[in-house]
Amino acid sequence: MMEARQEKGIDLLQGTLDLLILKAVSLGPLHGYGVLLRIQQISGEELVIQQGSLYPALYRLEHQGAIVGEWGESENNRRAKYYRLTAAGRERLGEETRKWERMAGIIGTILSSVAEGA
Amino acid sequence: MSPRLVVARVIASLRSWVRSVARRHRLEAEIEAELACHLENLTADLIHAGHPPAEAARQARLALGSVTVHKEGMRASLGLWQPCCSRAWSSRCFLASSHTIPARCWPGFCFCWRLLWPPVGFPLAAHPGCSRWRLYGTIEIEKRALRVSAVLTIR
Repeated sequence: MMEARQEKGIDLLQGTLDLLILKAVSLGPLHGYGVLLRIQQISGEELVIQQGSLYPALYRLEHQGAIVGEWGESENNRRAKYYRLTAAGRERLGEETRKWERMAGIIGTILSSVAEGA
Repeated sequence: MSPRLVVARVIASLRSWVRSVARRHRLEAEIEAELACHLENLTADLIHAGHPPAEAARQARLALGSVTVHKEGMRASLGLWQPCCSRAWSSRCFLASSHTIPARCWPGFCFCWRLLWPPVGFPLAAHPGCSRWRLYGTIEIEKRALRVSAVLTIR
């Protein structure tokens, strides 16, 4: 299952992981593995997130005050750290989303441009 | 980014760094528990997908990759990579990582210490009134210091 997923999946663009984590966590508190699953589920199993890069990104966002982690019990009764968005994180998510949409629009415009004589 | 958000981020980073340094052992335990939880969840999912338990555990470990590297990344995210301030808090980590300047200097320091140690203690132990012993100690120190400098020059 995992190999097949990695074969067809697209690697994440540089610098977009933080934004995706913020979005995933904004939908409800999640533990690290839950964040991974939710991003893959929302992307329709199209995006491949390197599991090694997930935790440093979570810790970075927590360090910056965008998310906050609290220890709780997971579905299998194990101690797990659940992350939720803070007010600063919500603000940052909005800002980063606007920036991303603007950038995607600009790139789209450039890519759809045609030669003047054509 | 708005100035208010920048200030909030700086304050949060500082607070997080102080907390991480002050509760270093607790942080290490939390990192360990979080990665273990991830591994367990991934293994459970693979078993649920039809893999035998041993194979599922193996695949989960492969998918997660090097735990040591992840731990380093998590510590670095919290600003705990600086050698002189935070690493000094935990002497085990202070000397364990090859990235820190003290860790790189440590073998050389130990080598010099081993060469110099006996004569340094010798004149202190000798009777202060006995000039012969003191002279012997001084000569020994000079001889050993020369050996150290010669070895370091060759290196």
